[in-house]
Amino acid sequence: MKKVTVGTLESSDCQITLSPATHRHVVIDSVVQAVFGEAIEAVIHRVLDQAGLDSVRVDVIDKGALDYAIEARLKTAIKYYEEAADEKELSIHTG
Amino acid sequence: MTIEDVILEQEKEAVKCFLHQHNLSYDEDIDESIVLREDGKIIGTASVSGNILKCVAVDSEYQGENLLATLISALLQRLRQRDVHHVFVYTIDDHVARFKALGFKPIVQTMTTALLELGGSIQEALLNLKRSHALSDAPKGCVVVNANPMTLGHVHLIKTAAEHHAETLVFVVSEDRSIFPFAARFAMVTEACRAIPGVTVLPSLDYLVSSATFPKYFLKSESKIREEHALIDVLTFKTYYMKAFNISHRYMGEEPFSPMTSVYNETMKKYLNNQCHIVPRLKLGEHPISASTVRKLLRHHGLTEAISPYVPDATVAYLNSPEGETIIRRLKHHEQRH
Repeated sequence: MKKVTVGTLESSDCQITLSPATHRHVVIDSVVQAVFGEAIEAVIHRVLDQAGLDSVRVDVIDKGALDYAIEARLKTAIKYYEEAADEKELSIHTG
Repeated sequence: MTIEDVILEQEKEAVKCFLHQHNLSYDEDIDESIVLREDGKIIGTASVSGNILKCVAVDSEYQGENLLATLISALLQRLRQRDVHHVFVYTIDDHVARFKALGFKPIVQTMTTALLELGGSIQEALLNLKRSHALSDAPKGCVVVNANPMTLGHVHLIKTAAEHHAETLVFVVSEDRSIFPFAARFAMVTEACRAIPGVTVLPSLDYLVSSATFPKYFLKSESKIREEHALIDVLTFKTYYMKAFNISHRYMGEEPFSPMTSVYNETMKKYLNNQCHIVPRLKLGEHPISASTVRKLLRHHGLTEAISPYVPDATVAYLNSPEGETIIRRLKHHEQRH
């Protein structure tokens, strides 16, 4: 399955990459890691739980995005990721 | 402020001019360039060649507004459409901090050049390669080849390494810039090494690149480019490859003629000291065997008996395949390609 990346590296935004993995693996690189690292991780896990997505690696480069921005970026990423997965399945079925 | 793609020749000229004002040049192998404009005036630019970001500049008047983030983000967005998520940037020392602030991770740094990556990690990539081939932690010999195509010279070099080590790693340059595609080079090397005990053939991944890919836009002279390319490559090899795979010695073919490779060999010798062995070339009569000799023979005479003293059976078999025939045809047409 292919990788999906969304977002930007601009201030107050974040870039999120989803790639296939054997289990859930979240890697966060944030300018506010020391203070908000855990809070960002909690948001990521909550959204992944809601989507029921476990075998995925999430790479976040955060430039000080607010939690709802991170949530929105991740939801978009998940949507593209699942679409990419569906397309692949479709191409297998149709040969 | 708007981001625009550079399409027309006159737009490209404007980018060249802008780079020139910033004491940079425009590399010839660029796939895609973008500019950032304000009121029609270029205030920043960035380009990409494969997965390498290059020719990045921001107008000094606007520095501090983090336009680099805008430019790089826009370029990354375009690369995603081509399914490129892992990128590299070579830049001058002074700009390292700016790229780091965007999330780029430094790989190696010389006095003048730094190599950084985003969307991947060299340590992870090498560890995955080691795991997927179930390699031991025992000390190993190592050879890096492009094998364009595989010759008996390469076989000789690999055999020399294998005679001294219980385990030998052969890295085939992954970068697809040679006339023989990576898959073909990898297959020829694997086949030719089958009979040599203790040899594992691996892809070099994106981290060991040829000097053709090495960006030139911020370096002024040919000799400086060669030196910097060699230095970055040697440092990457020493810092990451030797450590990850426990490589105790690297074996390299002697290069009496090519100035490019002799700078490379000298640099390797300087940084690896007695961990680096320069092996004299295997000769056919008076002449050292080289891949360029084989290409020359193919270019002028096609696939004849004349090449068999130069190459292993694996190379002959490949050249006899339909794919191999296509390459010989291309060699005949592209006189200059290496």
